[in-house]
Amino acid sequence: MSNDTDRDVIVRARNVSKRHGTVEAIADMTLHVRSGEVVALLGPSGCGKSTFLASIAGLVRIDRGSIDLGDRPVSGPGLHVAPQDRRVGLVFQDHALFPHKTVADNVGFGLHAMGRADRRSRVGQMLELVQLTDKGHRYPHELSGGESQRVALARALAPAPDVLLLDEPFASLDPTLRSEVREEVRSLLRSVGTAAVMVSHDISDALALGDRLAILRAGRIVQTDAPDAIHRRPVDEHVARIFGPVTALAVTGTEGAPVTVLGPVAPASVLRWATGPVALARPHTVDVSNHRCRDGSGAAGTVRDRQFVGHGFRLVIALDDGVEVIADVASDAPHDIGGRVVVRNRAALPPAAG
Amino acid sequence: MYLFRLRRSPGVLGVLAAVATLAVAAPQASAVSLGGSCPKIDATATVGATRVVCSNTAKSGKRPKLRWTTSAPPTSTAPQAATVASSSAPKGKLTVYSGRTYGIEEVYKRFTKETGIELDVVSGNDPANRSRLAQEGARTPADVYLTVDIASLVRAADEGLLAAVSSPTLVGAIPADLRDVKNRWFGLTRRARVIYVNTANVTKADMPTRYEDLATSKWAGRICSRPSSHVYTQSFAANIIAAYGERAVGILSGIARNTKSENFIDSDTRIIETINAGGCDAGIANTYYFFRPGLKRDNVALVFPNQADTDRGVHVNVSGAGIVAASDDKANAQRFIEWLATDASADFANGNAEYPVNPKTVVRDDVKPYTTFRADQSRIDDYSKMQPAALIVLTDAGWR
Amino acid sequence: MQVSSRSTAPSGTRTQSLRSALTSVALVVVLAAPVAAVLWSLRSPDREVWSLLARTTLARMVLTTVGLAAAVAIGATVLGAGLAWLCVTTRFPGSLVFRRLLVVPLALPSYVSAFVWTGLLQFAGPVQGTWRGWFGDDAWFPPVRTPVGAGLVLILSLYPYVYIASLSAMREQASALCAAASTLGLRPRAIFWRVALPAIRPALAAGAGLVAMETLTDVGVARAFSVSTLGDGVLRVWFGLDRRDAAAELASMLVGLVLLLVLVERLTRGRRRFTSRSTSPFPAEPVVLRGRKAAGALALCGSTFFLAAGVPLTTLAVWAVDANRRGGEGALDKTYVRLLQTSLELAAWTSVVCVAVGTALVLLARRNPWRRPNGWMARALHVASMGYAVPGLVVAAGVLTVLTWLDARIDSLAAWNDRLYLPFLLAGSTAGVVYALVVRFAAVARENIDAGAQRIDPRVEQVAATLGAGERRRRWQVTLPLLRPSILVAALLVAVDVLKELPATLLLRPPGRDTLAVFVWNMTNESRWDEAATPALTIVLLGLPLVLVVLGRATAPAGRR
Repeated sequence: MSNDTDRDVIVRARNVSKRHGTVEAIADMTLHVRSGEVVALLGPSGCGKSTFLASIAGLVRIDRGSIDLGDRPVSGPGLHVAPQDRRVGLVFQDHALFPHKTVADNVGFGLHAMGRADRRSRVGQMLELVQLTDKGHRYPHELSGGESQRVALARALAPAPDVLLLDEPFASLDPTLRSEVREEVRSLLRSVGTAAVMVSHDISDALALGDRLAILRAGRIVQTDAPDAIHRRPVDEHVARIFGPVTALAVTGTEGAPVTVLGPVAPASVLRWATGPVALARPHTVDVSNHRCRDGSGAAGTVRDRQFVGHGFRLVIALDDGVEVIADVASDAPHDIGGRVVVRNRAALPPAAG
Repeated sequence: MYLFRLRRSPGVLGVLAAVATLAVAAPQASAVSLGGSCPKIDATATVGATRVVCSNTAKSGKRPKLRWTTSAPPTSTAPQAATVASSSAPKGKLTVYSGRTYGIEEVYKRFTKETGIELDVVSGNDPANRSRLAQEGARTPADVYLTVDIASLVRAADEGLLAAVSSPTLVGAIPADLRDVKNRWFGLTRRARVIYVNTANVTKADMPTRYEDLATSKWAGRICSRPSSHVYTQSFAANIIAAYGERAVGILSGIARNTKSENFIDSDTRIIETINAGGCDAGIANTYYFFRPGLKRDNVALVFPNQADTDRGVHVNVSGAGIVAASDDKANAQRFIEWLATDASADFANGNAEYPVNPKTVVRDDVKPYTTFRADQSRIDDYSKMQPAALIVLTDAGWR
Repeated sequence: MQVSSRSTAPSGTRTQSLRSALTSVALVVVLAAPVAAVLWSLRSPDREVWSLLARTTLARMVLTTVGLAAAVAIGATVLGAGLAWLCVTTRFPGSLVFRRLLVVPLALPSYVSAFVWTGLLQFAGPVQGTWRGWFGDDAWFPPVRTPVGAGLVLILSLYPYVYIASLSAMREQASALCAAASTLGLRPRAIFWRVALPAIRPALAAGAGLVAMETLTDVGVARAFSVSTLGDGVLRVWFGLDRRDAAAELASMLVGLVLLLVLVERLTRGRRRFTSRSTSPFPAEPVVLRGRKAAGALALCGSTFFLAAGVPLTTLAVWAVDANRRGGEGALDKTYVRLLQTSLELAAWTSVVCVAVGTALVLLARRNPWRRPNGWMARALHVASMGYAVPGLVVAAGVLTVLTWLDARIDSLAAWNDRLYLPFLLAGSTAGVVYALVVRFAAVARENIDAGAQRIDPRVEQVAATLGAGERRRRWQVTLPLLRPSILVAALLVAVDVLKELPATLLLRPPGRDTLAVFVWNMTNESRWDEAATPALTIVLLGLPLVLVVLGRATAPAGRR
């Protein structure tokens, strides 16, 4: 967890709460964004992530808590700095370009305090950055989806905001364009070095851009950490499932020698969830064989379902004691539905056994 | 500022004004008595400037005398006419609130040409213009109030909206019974409201000779009438009320009963056309529509009713004008009215085939054969004040 | 995902909110004052007039008025929606032309159609003449001057309101549903009843409400057909009985009826504005009609256009030619030019002021793009712009009261200080007429501009805010430029209404400033139909292009803007 006294914290949101009528949109959200860092807020739609973004931008007046931008308090009890005075950049899902202004005028909109010449050179610079130098005179409806996305970014970045806020920035793009634009934006953000908060419901968007992830559920942040750390140690099953199918195996045995139905696991991989200690088995870490290993580890079960997923087959295996495990196997080692197999969890094995 | 106060309390002042005026003109008939089928509201109802006394005990049979005898001195009893304000400099422009909306453009243009005085005209119906005049009070831009129906003119005078004028020219040009005893308004033309009859469907013997004939069952379903929303109908009803008092309701409801609902037509020319085509056999309309170019009238005869020596004569309305009390150019306003009554009298009347009040004015040729008739000599301004009451009676009589 | 608009606003500076609050209050007071003045008269009802009316014609007037409004609303809805359905879903010879032609009656004032139709259909008119020529002198012909006659003329002149509303609703909302339904094997008639009709019901309700409102406030048609309605009653009491206050009281009954209607319409409309405006990517393919069906469709559209526009316009043209051949009044002369000029000036002034007021009302209601206006203010602004629902006659009466009061105050001010000379008179000035017309038509402008504002993506304004644009800059650089098309259409609509408007102009116009409509009214009052024809035609011709613009906007596929 970040340290409150960090000098380079750009966004410091503490215990932010906001109600819409009787519905609690966000509750008690605390999040810090450091300079140059991209934090991705990940959660299903309606979880309050956009409200949180709007709170930072000043488009929403928060009920409780406080928000500082850099060392300036902007929201808090009795305090609300207007959006135009916050120095934040905002990019919406459908880009919200001004339809009556050219690309260059869109990008230059936030630069009204500059002189004409300065503004022109800054607009040129931004267009160059997003590789749209030749499209400055176009109108938004004459742009492709990727281009208007870049214009929206350039417009938001032009006034050199302290923090960039991205609201579902890729959601309106079709899948093929999406990964391409994602890469462009990723390298752009890296090169500019502006701190950014992005909200998304899509894990690949979040992973592509986020240095850290904040997982939201029902208006609350349930976990904030680097993506791999969350992947390794999710705080509950829902968070664990964000990265794909997973089987949470109840851990038994002693603290020094934990055991699951698939065999012994390393003490370090045991997660202490509210439901009890568990170890995770993801499909690609589950080994499936036709015979029991020599050391006798693993659990016997029956293949219930089989689905081709590209790199191989995904099996649903019902263990004899009732637990269902999902496992990916190579396509050259098929196991028929109804076949008997033996399953082991490779990732969670104690190091000694590995 | 007193104008506003006057407007705000028409009830009390209205009664006083009505009583005062009637006392001067016809002391015997300070109130109109309506018997039998009178409105079943308060015993005395005051509407506008007229007092309608509703009483079943009122003596009937005796016709209220509303005639104004020529022996009444027209000018001597009039209050001292205000001298024309000489202090106000002529502005070279007069504003006329005019109920006359047609056949007059050329007359106005000639006035401007001859005098250099421009005319700004608000043309609209009489009551609307009067209402506006009252509303604007002392600040009104109007100098002259010109109407096609006498009632509004008289009411405007009674409400103090018109200034008295001493003008030998006007007194000389206009017969005494066609101008105000207090010289606040002056008649310009007369318009007789006569009976039109379809000559194909009505034999000579069956021709109506009196308005009252049209109320008899013989004419059931055969009459065309103008709705009571129009001032012509209201003035006509006031005339009947003046003549019959409480019995007027019976006559008016008789005519209304004889008119099929689709034959209440809000246009005199269309009434004449319908009679001509046989849509109804008789109806009441003004004479001058008869001379409209293009009007089909082959099957129509124009009948001046109530012409017997003992009868009261045809109902005649008067169009006229007065000088607005709040005018800031009364001199030119007077000049305009004098001009209309003399030099322009022929144009003004003949432009619409009306009868000029100035006896010296030459009537146009096609109208000439229709100029010899006996007009109801009732003091027109008296019963014209009954117009609101007339509308009540018409409404009660079931007149659409 | 859109940032919720339900949240409260960040406080602008306090002076800013104070200023908009004051502006709102001022606008509300100015716009509502005339109607309030009329309603104020109710505090001391004129018992005498009321008892007279109650004894005689009140019941019949109310019944006739309500019955007429209901019948005309139903008739216009059936006709308008039916024609729209035909034009959207089918093709037949001339269908594309008729789709445009069918809105033409909107440019034709109903009082003009009324006097043309009564002239043609009356006993002495050409139609009955021919009829008697064919079937003999005693041949039965339906009575013309009846509520039924008035109702038919009103239906023919008002159905375009419903037609336009359903046309755009069908294209916007129903076509996708219909396409889906037809793939499910529903027959066209079933699609109309089960899919299209429910989908366009809100639009129909709005259109029908407008028609009923116009019928309630009509005076011209009622007069021409000698039908006693409340509007006619108001005139009788005002000018016949000379009881202006009582007339205002009677008029407030009319206002009550209209408000009731508005309430019902609001309730029926419910949450319409929140429904999706998405258009089908696969527009329903129109059915090509052939043979008898094509002839039937053609006959329906053709006869509607013929009766609603063809006949009145042709008659007017014939009369206009007569009047011009004869010369004199009502011809294309200097007077005509002056009338035209006055009409256009009045229309221009009113448009400009209406648009300014309408825009202000809309902007005040959405001062910040991320907040909903606070309750009482929004309601007040809404009520203030209800003038459209109030008969022109009532607005005129109210404006007259307000201006006279102001004039009196000015008088006393002038009396208080001799050196202070205030020569102007508000009542009876051009400003006075414009005031009345603005009170009456500000709602037309507001509705249109508001519709445009609803189409603005609030995120565009939010982005502008984060880019450092304050309220003023957002308004001038983002909101207003985006509103420009709606503002233009609003201005045109107001202009058409002003050209047609009669009672307020009639009662308030300054000396020497007659408009085309006033001239038409004066002439028809004196049965001078020929003389009325040229100005009446001019009103129609001026209104026509504007009406077509409105149609184009209503039926344009939802574009990018």
